[in-house]
Amino acid sequence: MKLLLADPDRDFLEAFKILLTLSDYSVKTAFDGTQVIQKLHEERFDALIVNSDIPRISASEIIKKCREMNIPTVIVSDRKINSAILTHGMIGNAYLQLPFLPYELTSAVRGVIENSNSKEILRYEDTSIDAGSFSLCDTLPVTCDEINVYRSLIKKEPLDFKTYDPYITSLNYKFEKLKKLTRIKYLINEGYRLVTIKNG
Amino acid sequence: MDKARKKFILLSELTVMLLLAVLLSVINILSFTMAAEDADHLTESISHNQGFIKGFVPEFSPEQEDNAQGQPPQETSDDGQMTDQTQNNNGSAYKNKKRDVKPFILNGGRGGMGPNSPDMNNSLRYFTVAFDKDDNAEMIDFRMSAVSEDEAKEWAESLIDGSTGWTNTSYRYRVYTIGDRTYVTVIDQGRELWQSYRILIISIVGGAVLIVLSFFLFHFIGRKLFRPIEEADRKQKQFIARLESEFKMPLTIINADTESLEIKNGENEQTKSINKQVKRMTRLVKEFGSLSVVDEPAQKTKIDLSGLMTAVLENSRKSFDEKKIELSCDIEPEIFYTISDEAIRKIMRELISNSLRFSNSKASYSLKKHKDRIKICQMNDTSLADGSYDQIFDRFTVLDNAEKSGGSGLGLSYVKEAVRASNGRISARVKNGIMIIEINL
Repeated sequence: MKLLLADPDRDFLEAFKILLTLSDYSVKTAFDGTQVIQKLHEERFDALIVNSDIPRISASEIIKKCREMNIPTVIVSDRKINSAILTHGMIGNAYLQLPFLPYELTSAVRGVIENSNSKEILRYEDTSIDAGSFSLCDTLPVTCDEINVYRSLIKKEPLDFKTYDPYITSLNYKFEKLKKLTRIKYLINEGYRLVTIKNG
Repeated sequence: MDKARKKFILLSELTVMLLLAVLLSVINILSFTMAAEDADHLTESISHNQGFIKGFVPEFSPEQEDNAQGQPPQETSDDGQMTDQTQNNNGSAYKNKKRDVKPFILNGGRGGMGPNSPDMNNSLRYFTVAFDKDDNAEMIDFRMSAVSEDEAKEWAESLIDGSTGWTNTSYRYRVYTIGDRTYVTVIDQGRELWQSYRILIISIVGGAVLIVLSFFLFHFIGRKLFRPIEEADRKQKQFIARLESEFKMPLTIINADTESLEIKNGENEQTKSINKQVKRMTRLVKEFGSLSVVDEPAQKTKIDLSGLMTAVLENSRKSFDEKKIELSCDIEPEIFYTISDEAIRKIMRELISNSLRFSNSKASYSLKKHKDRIKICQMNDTSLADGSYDQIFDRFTVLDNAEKSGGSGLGLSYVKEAVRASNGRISARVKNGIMIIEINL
């Protein structure tokens, strides 16, 4: 698996290049936006890990380019993950908030690659998520974690509330935005479930 | 901090208003009371002088000389000198002789101010009517232009059953008996009362002006006074935000390097220790981050508070069970509130985290709505002494019994900031061994 790791901090690049290489990834690095675009044109990558504050070319533009090239992206940022970022901010396929543990990065990378290679369509009543294209009802982009939450809810698996908290809120916001009747609600004795609300 | 400044202005303004109200009330009450006392003093003086103002001796007609009861006393001065002064007061039948008046020290003495001053006596407007056993009225002295002598007699007749008091708003009267005759003296205190009313009007207008001026003054002082505190608060937040930001990347890199070392050489005591310390620092840095998040404009939505609280608490029930803490909930259904979703979840999580750390064996949560106010209450048993514990919401404040728990003293300070950002109030107290944290939204 080939990864492009882009961050202005060279120590970060060095440390994670070693770690990801030890985890059997082939890693190339870039420390600004120009280098990222250049390397994306030079060779095909399975995923891009990019800092949200990458200089020269904005992370939003790089993500847009990657979406066109069907390359999944993991955004690394020191801004807190909240529903506002997930609903209105720059949408990568996964979002990691600094500081994070190494396994969080490797599992995010694994998650985005697996999803992008899958043909899985998740469906509940009037909503659906195409895991391969990271889209909700073919309209709004969703992250890997939002897909995981939606998948767990369909399978009626218990959710780790602390971890998935912002994703539950952002998914509900997106359902509402698309005027769908599906919502995620907490049911006593059952936990979080996908439910259909009454129209109006 | 803005709220603290407003509170300062409000409290200062209220203090000034209260002090002004007390001061002006006292001044005005004294002013009116003294006007009445002066009048009483004069009527008493007249009564001692058999219906005449002290210092004036009428020139009696032969009929009056026959009437022993109505005869005013002849006064002599201490030094035996006598001064003559002839006056014609509004057509009065009496020619008055000015005699020596004893200096009235309290009122300024001879030529001074007050009810006994000679010039004041000259300008006094009054009349005295005497009634015999058959209720025949006789005018003893008349120095008034507002009424005729006949009207004055009728007026006096209407007052004969009283003793002393106000009549016709600004006239003070006194009824007294000398021998078998009853005297009624009426004094016009209009001028003195008008002075008191002027003081009242000046007090009201002056008080209002002072209140407005003091408002601007306190506003100005408040800005000056709170600027350094606000600046210090802002710098503290900036410092924490910078600290958090500066620590994030190195911590992530140390994590990655340690992980690489473990993959290459296997896990050992050193890497375990590094991981443990890095995790501890990571948790602290994330808590720092929570504080700066409060200041960011959050997306507020209408939240089903009842559902959310139930969800958060039910999700945490397992943790309470593991710590053998009995959890009870009293959540009123269908309570909605407009607040940042993240903020309220974080508030709940911090409260639960606090409860998990410091409860001995019991913890309870309630959500109630009373009129427009929403009250969230957390109670848990504690070994702390009774009293107020609002200091637990201050940054980096860790109570004695919390030191061992490894708390950073930031979790509850986040709760306080988040509650305040939602215009709510929070308090903590211990009563009968129960720690009660109340949030009013």
